[in-house]
Amino acid sequence: MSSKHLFKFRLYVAGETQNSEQAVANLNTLCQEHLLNRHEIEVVDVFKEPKRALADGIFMTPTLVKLRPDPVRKIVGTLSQAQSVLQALELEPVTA
Amino acid sequence: MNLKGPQFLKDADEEIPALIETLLATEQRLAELTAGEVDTVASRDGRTFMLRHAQEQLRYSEAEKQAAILDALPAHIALLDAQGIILSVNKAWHGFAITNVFHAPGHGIGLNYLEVCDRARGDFSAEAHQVAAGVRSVLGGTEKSFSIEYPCHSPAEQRWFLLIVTPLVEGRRSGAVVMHVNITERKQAQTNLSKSEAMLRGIMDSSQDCIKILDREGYLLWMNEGGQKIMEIDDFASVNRKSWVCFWPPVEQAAALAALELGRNNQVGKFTGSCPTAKGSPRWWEVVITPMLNDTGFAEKLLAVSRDITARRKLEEQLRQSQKMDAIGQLAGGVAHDFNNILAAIQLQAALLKMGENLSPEQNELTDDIGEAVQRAAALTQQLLMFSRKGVMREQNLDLNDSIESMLRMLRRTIGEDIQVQLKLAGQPMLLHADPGMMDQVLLNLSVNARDAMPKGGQLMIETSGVKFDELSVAGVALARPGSFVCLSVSDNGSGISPENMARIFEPFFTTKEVGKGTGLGLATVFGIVQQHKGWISVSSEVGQGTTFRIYLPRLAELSGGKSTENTSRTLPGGTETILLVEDEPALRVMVNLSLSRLGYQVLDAANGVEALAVWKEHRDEIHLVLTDLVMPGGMNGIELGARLLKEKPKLKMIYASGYSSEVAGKDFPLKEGVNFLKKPFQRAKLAQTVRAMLDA
Repeated sequence: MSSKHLFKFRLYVAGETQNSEQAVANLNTLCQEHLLNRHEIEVVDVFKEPKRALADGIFMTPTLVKLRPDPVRKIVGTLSQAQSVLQALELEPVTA
Repeated sequence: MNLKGPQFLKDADEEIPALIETLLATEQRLAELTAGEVDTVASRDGRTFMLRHAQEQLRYSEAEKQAAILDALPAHIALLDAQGIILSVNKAWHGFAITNVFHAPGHGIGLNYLEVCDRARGDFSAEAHQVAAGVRSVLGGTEKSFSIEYPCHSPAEQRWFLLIVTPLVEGRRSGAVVMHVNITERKQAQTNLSKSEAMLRGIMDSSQDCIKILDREGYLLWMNEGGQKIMEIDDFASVNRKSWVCFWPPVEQAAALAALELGRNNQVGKFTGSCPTAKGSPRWWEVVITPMLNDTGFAEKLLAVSRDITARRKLEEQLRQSQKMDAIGQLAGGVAHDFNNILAAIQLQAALLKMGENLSPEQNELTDDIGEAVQRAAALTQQLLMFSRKGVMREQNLDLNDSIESMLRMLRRTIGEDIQVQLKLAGQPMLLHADPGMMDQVLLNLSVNARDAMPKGGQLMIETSGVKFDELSVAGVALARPGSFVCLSVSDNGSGISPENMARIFEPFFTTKEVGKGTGLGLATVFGIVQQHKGWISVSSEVGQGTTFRIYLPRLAELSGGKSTENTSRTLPGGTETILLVEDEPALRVMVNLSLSRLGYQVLDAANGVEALAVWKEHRDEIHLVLTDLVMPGGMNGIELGARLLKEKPKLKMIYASGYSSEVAGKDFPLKEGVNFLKKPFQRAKLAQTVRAMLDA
């Protein structure tokens, strides 16, 4: 796929819990390294906006939703396995 | 699971542990499924559950953060409840508590902060009471915060604290946070700074220099207090922000501008100039302009330091004057010495010519004229020698008051009746170690000078006084030195001396009198004599008002001097015989007359041979001895006069005097110094001895 697309993320977190903070940090690092100047991140705190999580069908935090480019993808966890995350986002081909 | 219904209550004891088991197992399974990377899970209806590990982690991290922040703060912090009881403290407080009243188990937790302050006694109790009041006002809600700086010194160290009290409202509970911040370093720096500022200000203000700060353009920004005094500025605002260069007289402004320019170019500008003070007093200044550089090395401002060198310049001027007089003295002395020898040769040749009997009456007269002119020239060289301090001094202890009193009659005669002479002599003896003849000469010359300044008559005041100089009082006078001095002051109310002439009055041959009226050696002689006596002269004069000469001579202590004048006089041989004194030089005639009179002799005097013959006619029988000058004007010299008188009275004693050696009279006329010949200038003692010896012969 084209790497020129704008990536739009929504990250669901739960307050200042450890895994959520980790996920925010990891996502930021990943975007800086691979999607410089072509990403948007929206962080949604489920404690503050529980209805949005329900609407998006989010049942765990942290959960990353890739809204664009299509197709929409959800990744649960701290995003610390960068390689797997990139593959899931189709930024890198899946290797054996 | 079904938790509803009465079955729940009934079976609660069994069911609750079972449910907890289930909960734990569920959580365990959720953690496994999410690999520990999930904090919350939600049910399908959106209810969120936080997993246990996330709950625990969140709780601890919050508390840890807060504790870490509080403990990292260097301030000693205590949390008080609404009553002032210490609930909690930070780590820094622990160390603080050890050194003071909060040193108690638990670092003072549980103590009432207000009570501790209220109980304070001793050095800093006043501050402690203020603190208690401040804390109460914050706790009571009347103040939003309170702070105070207070000292907390111990014998070992000096400490200052800043205490800040802020209210704390948490739900329904209220209290306050008290913080003690150690500000000792800041306080000490402040104290040091203000000390050094005060010292600097003290130095600046007490400085005898005028210190100014100018901006780059040369406008005055600041001046030290000492400088304002020196510059006689009453109100600094009147000169502030004005151009410094414009304070200088136009003639000095170029130098001031040049110095300013150097300062602007990061160099040092210096110049010396004259500028009156704000009140117009004339002053000389030595000015140094230095740049005041900013961080980038740019001369942002200029420092101008002006030193008042008026007194120094005056002193330098006096020194220059005295050096000039020294130089002239050396020159005059040298010339006079050689000139005397030449004159002696001319005199001798003229006398030899005259001895020959084949001169026509006209030639005879011409020869007399030569002798006369030489005599006058010799008198001048004599005075020059006196000026150049090469006159022979014969010092003795004398009382200047006595000298003046015995001169008085003769002085009155010399200066004439139009001038009133007033004496104001010191009550005590004014003892000097001096040549009495020279002292008479000084008084005579000054009196004659005063007389000439008062052609229409006036007042001549002669005063003596004892004065003492210390280091301070001599500071402005180049020749003065500390010690005890006799001051002889001679004042007239005559024409005065103009400032242009003032610098030259002691120079030989400087005269303001008409040509032929004065030699210009009178004051030069006085100068030489005074210098030779290790004294100095000060002159004050105002044109049209008069002149005062003050002569300072080292005074002898009463004890060492005593009444030595009489003793010394007594050692000189005298007598009561009558002496005819023939001398054409009036000053010398007066002096010799005075000397002989003081020795007890009756003295008759005459100005030349012809006059002498007239006196002789009247007093022939009384006269025991004739003292005559060898070469005199008026057609009859000493030898001729002697010959005439001896013919009439062979037993008459004759003494001849001359400025030249005894050979001047020729081989046929035996003159022997100390017997029948006195070589001028002669001393009083020599005169007394020669006269007495001749009378006794």
